[in-house]
Amino acid sequence: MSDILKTKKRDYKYNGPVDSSDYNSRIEENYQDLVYLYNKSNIVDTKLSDAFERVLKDHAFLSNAINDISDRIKALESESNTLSIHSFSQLDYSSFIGTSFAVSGTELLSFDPTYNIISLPKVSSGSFSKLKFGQPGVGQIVPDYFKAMLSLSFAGVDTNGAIIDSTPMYNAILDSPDKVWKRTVISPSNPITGAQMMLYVRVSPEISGSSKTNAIKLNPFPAFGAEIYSIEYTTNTDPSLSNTDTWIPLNSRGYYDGDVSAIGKVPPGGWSTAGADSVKNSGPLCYQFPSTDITAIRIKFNQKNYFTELGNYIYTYGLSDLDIRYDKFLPAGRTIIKYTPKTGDVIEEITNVTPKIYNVPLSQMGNVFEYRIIYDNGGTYSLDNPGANNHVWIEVTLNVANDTTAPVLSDLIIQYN
Amino acid sequence: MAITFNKTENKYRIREPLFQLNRTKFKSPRNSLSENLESNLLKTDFSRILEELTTIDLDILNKLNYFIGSVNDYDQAAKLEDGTSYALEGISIYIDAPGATENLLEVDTMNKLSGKLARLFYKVSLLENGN
Repeated sequence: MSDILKTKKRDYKYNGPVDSSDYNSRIEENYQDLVYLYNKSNIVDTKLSDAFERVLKDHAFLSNAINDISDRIKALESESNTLSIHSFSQLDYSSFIGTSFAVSGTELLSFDPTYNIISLPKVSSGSFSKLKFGQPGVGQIVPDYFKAMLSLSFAGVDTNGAIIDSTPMYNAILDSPDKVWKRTVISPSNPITGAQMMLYVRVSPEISGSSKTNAIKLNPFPAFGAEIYSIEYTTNTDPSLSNTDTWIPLNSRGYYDGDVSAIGKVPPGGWSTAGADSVKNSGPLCYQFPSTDITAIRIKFNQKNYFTELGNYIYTYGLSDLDIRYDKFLPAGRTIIKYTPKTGDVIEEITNVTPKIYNVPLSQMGNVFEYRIIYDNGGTYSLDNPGANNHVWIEVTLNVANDTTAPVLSDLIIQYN
Repeated sequence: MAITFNKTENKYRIREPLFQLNRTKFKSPRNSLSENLESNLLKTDFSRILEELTTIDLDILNKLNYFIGSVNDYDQAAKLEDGTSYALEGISIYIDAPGATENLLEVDTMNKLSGKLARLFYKVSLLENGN
């Protein structure tokens, strides 16, 4: 840029006659630079619009492709007379307003489309983050007692002394589209271990006056491009954020050990075979667990995906979002989910209803999950099956588990004839 | 400004600086009036450029918002379905398929797309494992 600008540095000392030709050349240089800057800003503006237009159009059709794949999977399921939740637009409680099945606003189950979870009704006034707080007119604030550490004592390319390009860790805490915590390792080699790191984050009781925690949400960066190997917590008072603290797997009870469909649904690091529950190429993760006095958590990251550029191997991993929370839930709640068979099919009868809940054991499933099947019986909603249904609705009731866990319904699969 | 195309007049818009080329010959005592005017116009031009750059900066953030979104910005997002999509006012899309109609263009944020992909991966895993 400095080569393009015409204005030159001058060092005047007016001790004699003033030379107007130099004055004239100076204002000409100034004028040319201004014209250049004006045009440059216009070009940047146009380039931005061009880039936005391109990305927007690609994005719109890629989104459509994802919806298309979803429809095809739905069709595959239908082949085996199975239906499940494919879109949260299936939550159809509004059709039942004014009927005996009506769900009031306070008892309506909460849902989160990012993490694909349906859970107990959330009381927002009693729910808060343990890492940040919001201030009207200021936005989100990460307090100065936020503390996080990285341990780089693992085999691989991410070790002390490696060439690193990174952004601040608190970028993962702030919900802003231009803020992401990324750690890029530039390495001349690509060992089989890739890059590994352990992130330690202190949970400060100062924000809420309590260490009670029952939810962790994280969005690995790049999305679907990094591995979350384990999530553990400590209850040590004043933790040192190192290996010397006592670390307990978040899934310490080993829920669903060995069930491959539970990978990503249970916090990794709790199964009997180390690494078997690791979430490879992880999407967004959310875990709800019993209210626990947590003073710090640690998350082990692995990155074996890399780019190559200028003879180097580039490993990037991090988080676009991280929140450790205490969420207050009502002890029970309901919602209604609509199921429609593929075109041309009708549902004669529901033969099986299978909830997919991974944060309570199977032994408690009967306590935390109940359902009723609702039919459209000649324009009236009823529990009596008229046969040959174009739609059915499942009324789901979730109850808090004995250990205070708010159950997370990941899916509800029905089979029909 | 249009979003799905660029208007030609925008591409070739050139704005003139206010600053003027006032050539001078110093044959008399220097005139502070013209020097002050020059200085003031220069300042106005710099302010205009700064304002333009600030607008571009905000524009980048606003446009980024459409794609990246934010976990807690549900109030700003159009609640068309799940609360993490942005509706672009006045823009519709038609995707060719039997029985298709024109729909309001809804931009899914990365979080929503990630959520949809995670759901798909989970369902494929269930199908693969015969669940």
